[in-house]
Amino acid sequence: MEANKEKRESDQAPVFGSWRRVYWFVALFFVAEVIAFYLFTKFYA
Amino acid sequence: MSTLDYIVLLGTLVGIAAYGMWRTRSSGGLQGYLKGDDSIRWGTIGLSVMATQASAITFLSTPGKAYDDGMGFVQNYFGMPFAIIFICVFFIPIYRRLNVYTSYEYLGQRFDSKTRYLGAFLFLIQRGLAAGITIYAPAIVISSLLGWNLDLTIVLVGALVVLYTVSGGTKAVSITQRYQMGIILIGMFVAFAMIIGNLPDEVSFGTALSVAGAMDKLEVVNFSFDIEERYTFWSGLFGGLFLSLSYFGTDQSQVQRYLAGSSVSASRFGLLFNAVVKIPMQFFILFVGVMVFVFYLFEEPPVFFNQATLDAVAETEYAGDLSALQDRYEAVVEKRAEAVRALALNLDQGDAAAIALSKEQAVALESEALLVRSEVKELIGKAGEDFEAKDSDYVFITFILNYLPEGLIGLLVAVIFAAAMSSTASELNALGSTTMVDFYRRLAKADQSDAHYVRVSRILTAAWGGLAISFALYANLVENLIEAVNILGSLFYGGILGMFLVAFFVKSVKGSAVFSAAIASQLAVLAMYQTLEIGYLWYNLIGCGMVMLLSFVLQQTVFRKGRSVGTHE
Repeated sequence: MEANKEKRESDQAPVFGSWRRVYWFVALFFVAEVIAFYLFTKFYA
Repeated sequence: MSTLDYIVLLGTLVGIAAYGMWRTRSSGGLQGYLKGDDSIRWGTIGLSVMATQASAITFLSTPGKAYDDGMGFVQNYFGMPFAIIFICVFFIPIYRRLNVYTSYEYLGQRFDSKTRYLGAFLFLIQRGLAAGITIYAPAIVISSLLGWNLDLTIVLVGALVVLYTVSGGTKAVSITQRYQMGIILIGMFVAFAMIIGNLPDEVSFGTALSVAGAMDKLEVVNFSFDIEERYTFWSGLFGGLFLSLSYFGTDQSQVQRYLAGSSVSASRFGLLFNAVVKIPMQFFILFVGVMVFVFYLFEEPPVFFNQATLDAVAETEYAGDLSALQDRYEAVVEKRAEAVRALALNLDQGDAAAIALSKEQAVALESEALLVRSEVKELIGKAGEDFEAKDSDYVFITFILNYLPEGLIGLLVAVIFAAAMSSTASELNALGSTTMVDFYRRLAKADQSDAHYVRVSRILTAAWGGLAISFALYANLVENLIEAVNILGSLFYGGILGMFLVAFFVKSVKGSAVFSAAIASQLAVLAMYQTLEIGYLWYNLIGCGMVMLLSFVLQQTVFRKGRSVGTHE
């Protein structure tokens, strides 16, 4: 049981609490990047 | 380069290598040598994954690419965040649960030995060739600009990498990559600051951006659906997704980095760190190239950035033609500088009509300058078959050598070689591990002691190092080095990824069907590359799709009888 608990803890996502939230963060960060790139392109090109 | 530059260069490269060897002087058994004893933290994994992907080619070719074509290349990486999420969800838990040394071991467990050997073999071919290019790329560029002996440069850089990779294994590779990546990031920020600092006093950073935009260098995203365009949002998202899935999910040079993590969490977080940081980093490197372009709008650039080639042409019967073109170029870029100064002034004053007029003049003169440059390249092609008529890999390093102060030149040359060494180390580490685990331990000597396998791993890593150095010694400069590596990867990765995706998600398909499908698809992809004009990133998707579809069809038809027999090892 101790080993299971240790394993669960070692598989936990740091900072965000759950892996699902980490993945959403990465995906939304990408969307924000593309929007920023689009605005950058529109503004300068 | 001055004495100070050589001290900085050698101190950085040898110092990091020596530190890596010292830290791993007692790297235990096979588990320690190949997987770093599963002890590496997510931060080191993150930097190690980044350093493996970012070779010297990244820092030589990418700014040169932006100098010529602008920022669009960044779209190549748009599929990467989603690929990494996919790998974190599906690949990493399976690899870690099965406690594999190489990703191809999983193919053996899911299908059969021949499929495992095929996956490992395709990896060894394409990564073995790429390792040669990784060493060759910085050596050819820097040796020709600094007058160093090319062969000696290749051998010395290659030998230093082989030394610490053979000595300390996976842990030494990860530790050295952490410091190499640190030097690379510091060096690139210093270079960027120096470019901005070298712009004329009256040109602010904002004006430099506006000038770059007016000269059509700041188009980052292109939503065109034209399949023949090399870099679009869609090819980057879908082609890049499959390229990244294959590269991060199945290429042992990357898999070995995150399998060394102290936990599933460390492996995932190290990889996800790259999903967030990689695109901004590529944007920044391209942006450095665009700023070099803006800098050379005010300063006279060479008509061709590879001075050694120009000197060689000047020794031929075409010397007179070259000299005339150089004079013409000088006159055009002088006028262009005047037009761009007027454009910068008008941009500052915000006079729309004046901006439009000066922009038109600057763009017309830039087209004329480009025309002269293309005539020079044509002349170089005529002057000798061996002369390389492409100079984009020389743009950034030429700026560094001509405009950076003593000491910083050494630092930036160290950046280029550190990047080459970090990628090569991962490649050699992975090539040695795959050959040992997937071939030697199964086909030659099973049931030997750990010490025996570590010794063989060292010998195999050194042998791959020797092969990569030999390949680098006989390589010729290809059109653009970063593209050569990406094209090579795209031709092989799709098929390998297809095998893994079938393994994960199409449970009904067995070994013989996927093996036959992978061979047929690989041959088809190579034939298509020779005959069709498709952007190369699409071959990742095509190869992967073909393997998945064909293996399913073969399983339902030709190999139908074998379905109930089972082909697991």
